[in-house]
Amino acid sequence: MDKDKDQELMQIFIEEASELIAAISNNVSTWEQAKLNIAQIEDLKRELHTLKGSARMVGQMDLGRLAHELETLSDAMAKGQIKVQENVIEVINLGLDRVALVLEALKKQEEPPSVEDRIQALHHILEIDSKSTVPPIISKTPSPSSETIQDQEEIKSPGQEAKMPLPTEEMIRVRVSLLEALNNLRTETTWIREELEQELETLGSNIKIARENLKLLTSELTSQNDQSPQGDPILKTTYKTVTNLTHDLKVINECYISMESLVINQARVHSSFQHLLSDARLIPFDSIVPRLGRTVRQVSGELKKQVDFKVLRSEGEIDRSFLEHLLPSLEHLLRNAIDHGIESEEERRRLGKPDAGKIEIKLAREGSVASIEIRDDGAGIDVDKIRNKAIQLGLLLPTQTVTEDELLHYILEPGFSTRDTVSLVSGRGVGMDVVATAIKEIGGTLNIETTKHRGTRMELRFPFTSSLNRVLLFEVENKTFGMLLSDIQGATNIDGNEAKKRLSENTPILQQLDKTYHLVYLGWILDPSTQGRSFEEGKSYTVLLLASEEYPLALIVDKVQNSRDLLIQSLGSQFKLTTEYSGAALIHHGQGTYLLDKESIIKKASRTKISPLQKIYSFSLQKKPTQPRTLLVVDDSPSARAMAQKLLEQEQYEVITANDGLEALEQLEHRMPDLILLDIDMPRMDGLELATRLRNDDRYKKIPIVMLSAVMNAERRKWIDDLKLEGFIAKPYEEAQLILKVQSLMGNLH
Amino acid sequence: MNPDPFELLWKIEQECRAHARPLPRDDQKSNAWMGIGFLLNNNYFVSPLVEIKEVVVPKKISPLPSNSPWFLGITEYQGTILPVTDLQGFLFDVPTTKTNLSRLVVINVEQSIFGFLVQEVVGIQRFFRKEKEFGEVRPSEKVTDSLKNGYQGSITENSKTWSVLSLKQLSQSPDFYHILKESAS
Repeated sequence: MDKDKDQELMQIFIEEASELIAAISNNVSTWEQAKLNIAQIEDLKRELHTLKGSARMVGQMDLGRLAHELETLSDAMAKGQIKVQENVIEVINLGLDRVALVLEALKKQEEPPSVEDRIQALHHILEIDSKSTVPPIISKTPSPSSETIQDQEEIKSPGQEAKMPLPTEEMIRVRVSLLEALNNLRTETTWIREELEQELETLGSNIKIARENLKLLTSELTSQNDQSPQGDPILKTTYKTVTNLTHDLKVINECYISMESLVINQARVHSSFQHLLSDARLIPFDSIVPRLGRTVRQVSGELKKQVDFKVLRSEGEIDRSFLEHLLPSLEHLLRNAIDHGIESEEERRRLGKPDAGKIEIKLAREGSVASIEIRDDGAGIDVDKIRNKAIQLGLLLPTQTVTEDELLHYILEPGFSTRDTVSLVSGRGVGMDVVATAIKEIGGTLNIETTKHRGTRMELRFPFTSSLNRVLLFEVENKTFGMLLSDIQGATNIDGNEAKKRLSENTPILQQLDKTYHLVYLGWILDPSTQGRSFEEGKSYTVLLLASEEYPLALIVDKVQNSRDLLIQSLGSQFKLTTEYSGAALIHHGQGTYLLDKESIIKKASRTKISPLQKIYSFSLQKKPTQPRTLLVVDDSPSARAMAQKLLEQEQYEVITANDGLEALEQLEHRMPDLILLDIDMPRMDGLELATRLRNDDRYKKIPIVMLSAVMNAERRKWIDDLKLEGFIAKPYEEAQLILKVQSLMGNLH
Repeated sequence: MNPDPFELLWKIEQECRAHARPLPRDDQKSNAWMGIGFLLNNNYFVSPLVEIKEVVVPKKISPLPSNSPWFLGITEYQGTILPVTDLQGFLFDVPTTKTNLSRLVVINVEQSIFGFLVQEVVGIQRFFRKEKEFGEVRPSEKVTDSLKNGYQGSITENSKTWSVLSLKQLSQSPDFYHILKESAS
């Protein structure tokens, strides 16, 4: 029992101390950059003090002594008794590294390393330096890189004092397994809700049928009653029962309607719940910075290379599981940068570079994508060497011409190393493939840029959280697939006949908005055995456009379903040899759907082309209209109008707008649009009324109408169905969704 | 005259006790080696219980285009993606015909989960012998190439022969990752 309790205490201590070390390291590095204010120095001292106390409490006396020395030294530095300079900071960092090592050992229940030498080193500084007194904070000369300064200023914006969480917000510790379990439950409720929606839909249509039948029955009974004026008693009873049934059904229908609005409401709550839950999985990137710093110090120490390591814009949060997943890869990239990238001191001097190599790591976020960039100012990757090695390994023919980018991808192949000698640190050819796999596993990509003698830049890009990403779902050969909407540049339609004709060309291509795409049927890429399948004449197929510098691709798919926010999951290790799929997501009723990897599909398409590129046929898929097509956007919100107008004008449509139904009718007197986008809730005359009028007016009844609204209920759905409107798009809509809809309707016009 | 009912009951109890199989001794109980038994190609197989996470009824499986015949695709399992291998197809090149009795045996290896479709699960099997004895049993001649990974021998008990198969080891074999037609060849 006591042992269990000790264990538990130790666990708490390890967690607390790891957090303290992270905070302390951050403060120390800021101190080195002479940017620490009084409050932060106080924080640092308090943190060291807490560390010391906690360590002693769990019986880690040596660790306590080390913390004590660190505290004494910081105190002396704060008082100005000891100069804040590089060598002192280095000793402190080495001391902190040792604390971290001890914690790691304790975590694994191993014997912790000795801390004696570190205590001595700290003690030594105190003895030497305590005689000279200098002002407490000495500015270091500013770094020559302007970018660095700018970035650092960005970190320390005015008013942003300390990095510790606000004291007003209470924090609790939550087990990761609990969060994961919550997340799984969350996924399950999504399907239950979806099933509920479908069941409700069935219920609704059944009620409708039952009502129709009852109506028929009632009228039949009435006519029979009329025929027997004496009044048949059985008929009377039946009539009464039917009347009761009609009433019951009405009550059921009311229940159904309120259930439907409840489900819609629940969907809204559910989506906020989903977002909050994914936020709970985020942890600060800061928390791994000390560990990265430690790796750099350790490797640069081993290789005797001076490295100036900078972390830029480390503030930001990343999904816990991703950060944990990527940490070994980041460490590997840093090791590589020091070992392969940064040259020896002599070499650097010869090249006129500063003695210390520079490595920077930067975190950034663009929308739903997070990126971690590691940049060094070393020798760069020797592309010729890769080429030779690739030829040597038989991966490349000596006569083959490949781009530099393609060559760089060889370093991601397992067992590929250009290093002539193997060092303890790297050069075994294990690693880069592991990095590439790790990033792929979380649905991300690895970009490499390199310039000889200037350095290398590696960028890991991945979804910001493992929670939700917008995915376009489509069908190929009766199977559903998905692709990140952000990977798709645009979409258009192609007639089955046209597709067949084009695909039988030597080099099928597609011209779209002055760009040329290679045209291919997706099914052929995924399963070459389906080649030669026929396309239905007169049927419209969707073409997804994928941008790429080397091989822009137009993918024909059978049918687009919709775009949805989906939780992207890893396909697991059994898929490690396949590249076409970057992950999977669960859709209706927990059905698994494969997500296509854009780059890999492009690569595969470029390889599986049937005949070599000889001549380029240029053609336009949709006959360019002599006059641009006109769209009427009816919406009472000026910003909604402006947004739709901008979006559609970009797509070369002419757009006219109206404020409400009445104004739209006026507009229609002057101009006949090819399509109307119609908001429902508007003053004076709403969308439903306008749509009804247009459908009952011979002049306008053929104009396709797409409804746009934030609110959708049974009544509205019935209107839309009854009027046979061409579509409904829920607001707020995705741009691509609107364009796809408009294009598909316009495509069907001619 | 009717016999005394209590006497009759007592006699029945005695008869039962006389004919019942004795309970395993306590020390034997704790030493029992347990596994999940299942049918493949109409042969009995048993996999160590410690390796198995769960046995579930298969749900809808989404097939992978251009797949190896034994790789069935992905399915949902506890809110996550589970890849499914047709175990009989993988080992004997005979695809499993899915019936109401078919089950998915789910295993957990490090960070990954794998699902194996089997013809039928026949419950937890206990064997009272030491684990090392399995190794002493010579593999039968019929062992296929794929079976060499994970096959740990066989046990014959009550005139039934069980092949012991470690699904964990099987999942480490290189063939297991060639889930596409082209990569398999």
